[in-house]
Amino acid sequence: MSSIFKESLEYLRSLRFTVVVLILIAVVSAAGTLVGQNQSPDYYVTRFGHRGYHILNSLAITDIYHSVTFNALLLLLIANIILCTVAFAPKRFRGAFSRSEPTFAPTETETFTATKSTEDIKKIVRREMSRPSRRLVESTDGDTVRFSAFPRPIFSLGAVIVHLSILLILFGGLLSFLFGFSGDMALKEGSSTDVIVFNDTAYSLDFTVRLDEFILELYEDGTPKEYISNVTFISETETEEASIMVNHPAVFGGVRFYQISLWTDLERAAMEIESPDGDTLYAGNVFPFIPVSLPEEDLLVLIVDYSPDLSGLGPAVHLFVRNAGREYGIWVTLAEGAVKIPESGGVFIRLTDYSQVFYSGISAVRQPGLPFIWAGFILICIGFTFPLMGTGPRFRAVIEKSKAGAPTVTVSGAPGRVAVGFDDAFHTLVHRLKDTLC
Amino acid sequence: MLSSEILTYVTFVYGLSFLLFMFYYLTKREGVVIAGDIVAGLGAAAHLVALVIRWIVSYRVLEDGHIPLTNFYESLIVFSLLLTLAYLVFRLKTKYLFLGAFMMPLPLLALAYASLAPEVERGIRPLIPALQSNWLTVHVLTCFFSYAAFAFSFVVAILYLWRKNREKSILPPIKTLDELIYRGILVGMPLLTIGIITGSAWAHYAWGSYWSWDPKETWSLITWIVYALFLHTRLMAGWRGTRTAVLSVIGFIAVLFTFFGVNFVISGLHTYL
Repeated sequence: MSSIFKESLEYLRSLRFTVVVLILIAVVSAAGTLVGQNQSPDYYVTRFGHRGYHILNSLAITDIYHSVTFNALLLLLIANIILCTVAFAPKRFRGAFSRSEPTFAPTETETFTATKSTEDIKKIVRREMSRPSRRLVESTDGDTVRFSAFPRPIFSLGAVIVHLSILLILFGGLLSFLFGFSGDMALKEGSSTDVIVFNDTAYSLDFTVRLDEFILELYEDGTPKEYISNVTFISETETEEASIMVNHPAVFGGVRFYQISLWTDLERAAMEIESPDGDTLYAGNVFPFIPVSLPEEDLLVLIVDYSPDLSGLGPAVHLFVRNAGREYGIWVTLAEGAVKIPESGGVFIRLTDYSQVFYSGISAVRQPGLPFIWAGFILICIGFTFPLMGTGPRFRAVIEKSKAGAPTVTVSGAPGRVAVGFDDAFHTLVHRLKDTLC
Repeated sequence: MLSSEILTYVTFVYGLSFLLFMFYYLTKREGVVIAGDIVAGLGAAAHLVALVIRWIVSYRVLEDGHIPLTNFYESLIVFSLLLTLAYLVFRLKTKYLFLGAFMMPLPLLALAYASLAPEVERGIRPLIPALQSNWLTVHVLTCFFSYAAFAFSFVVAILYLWRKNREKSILPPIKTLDELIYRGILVGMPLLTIGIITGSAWAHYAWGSYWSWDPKETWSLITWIVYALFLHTRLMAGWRGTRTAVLSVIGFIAVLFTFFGVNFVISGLHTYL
């Protein structure tokens, strides 16, 4: 039993498993983008037919990134990263903080006699072999001085840092998923709410958000320039005003508020209802879903919908009309003037004016994992630069006193992980040393 | 517009450098490559000037000007410059003469497409609220720098696959080509990572979510995974040669799909770029 467990663990941390899991995640992710995610059933039926939609839906491919399969793949990836990092990290850490000089087999060696004193040679060798990305080790053994230059061992920690930062980001995401929330609220000017909605479920905040003013700034050509929600956060203990703009969220009570959308709706419509004789039966404001009742005419009018531009005819209201026991639905536009109510014997209805109200779509997010995610972001950027710095060549310079008395300098070197450019680097170093020392 | 006119001339300058690099394969003379490098360098300088002019002009024609990185046309002309710079950096860092004839067609095509394709909108437009962010510059630039590095690895990978069964060739030995592929990816991978991370941080401020599985986000992750596979198989399993060259080609196909394919095939949050 323990052998099976050991073998499973070995496989889980193997490179083969890394490759398999990464390929599966890539393939599943690609499938998700090609199929389209969280669309309406009609969208899938139009593209793939009823049978296709049924298959996609039953395999959770229509919401693949939240499916059990995809999350299981992520879990396997996490297991793989943890296990392989645990396996190779200790050795990398020991190497990174080791003071010992790494050994290498030189592929190039050149010896020349210097005309300077040993002290001058040491200064010049130090200057020519030093680089911020290299460690330079100097040792003296009798009359022999050795310089070794090699990439700083700390750079070997790149892979460990990258792996740990991926885990940090995923851990932060998991914390936010388990203990955070994200939901949307729709507010019109003057209204307030403490309710956010996520996945058709309402949640309550500990405080209320009131939209004091919504500002839509436009460029000269009508393109949106800025959406600004001026809000007031009201809790039992404090009240705070804030502006929420795209790219500039506001924070209150540990919750971040983002400006994510806006839309307009009808605030009120000015309407006139005329009798067949031309007498005005009603003239005034009508509000959505608040009926206007004229009992003498046995007439009831109710605004049930609004379009800022109905088929190019401009603003229009959709009316529910009940007259003499019969019910109708009619659109009345600002442009076309009076509309006759069917079967009414000649009662006309006219839209004379209207005003809109802005609704601001605000997203409220609490992410307890945020510090871990940011730490992961910073670390992964650092970690990925380490391999770049750690691929450089290794050089050695040995200064010895020759029998004739003049010191000789032997320069040798070997390429690092990337050999391209080593020849140039080696010969440039030798030429510079020769130019200054001979 | 002056910048567009300059870019039209730059297209011809890049074309001239390409012809010089082709001429090298007839003459085998290093001087021809150096001439091509100088022409490409002058083209890149003019290219940069055109971008700066477009940037300055944006402050004249708009209430708030912006760096030219905010629509498909601008991303193409910036990418084209970065491809040329990738070649020039390669020339400055190494002694190899072979690459120009194969690398320069990329900026040439990108610039010609940006300048000539009727469907590419070339006007300077004001920034919608979501794009008004300092993250924009670092996110887009790091992504395109990484794409340029991956394009370099892709070109060398194609040459590797062509060269591998040939005893004699004007191209460098396959071991050198293999290392050049690796070097390009070694540069591209940190840049792509920073590009994804900065995009993610920007999404956090703009939409309140680091990751929304938007198609462009997802394809950038897929690209990252392909190159992560390249690094793992090369460094841990010792893969070299054909297999890593093929991975580099697959990686660049993913790059192209992230850049172009997502815009044309799938709609999402990145529809403006």
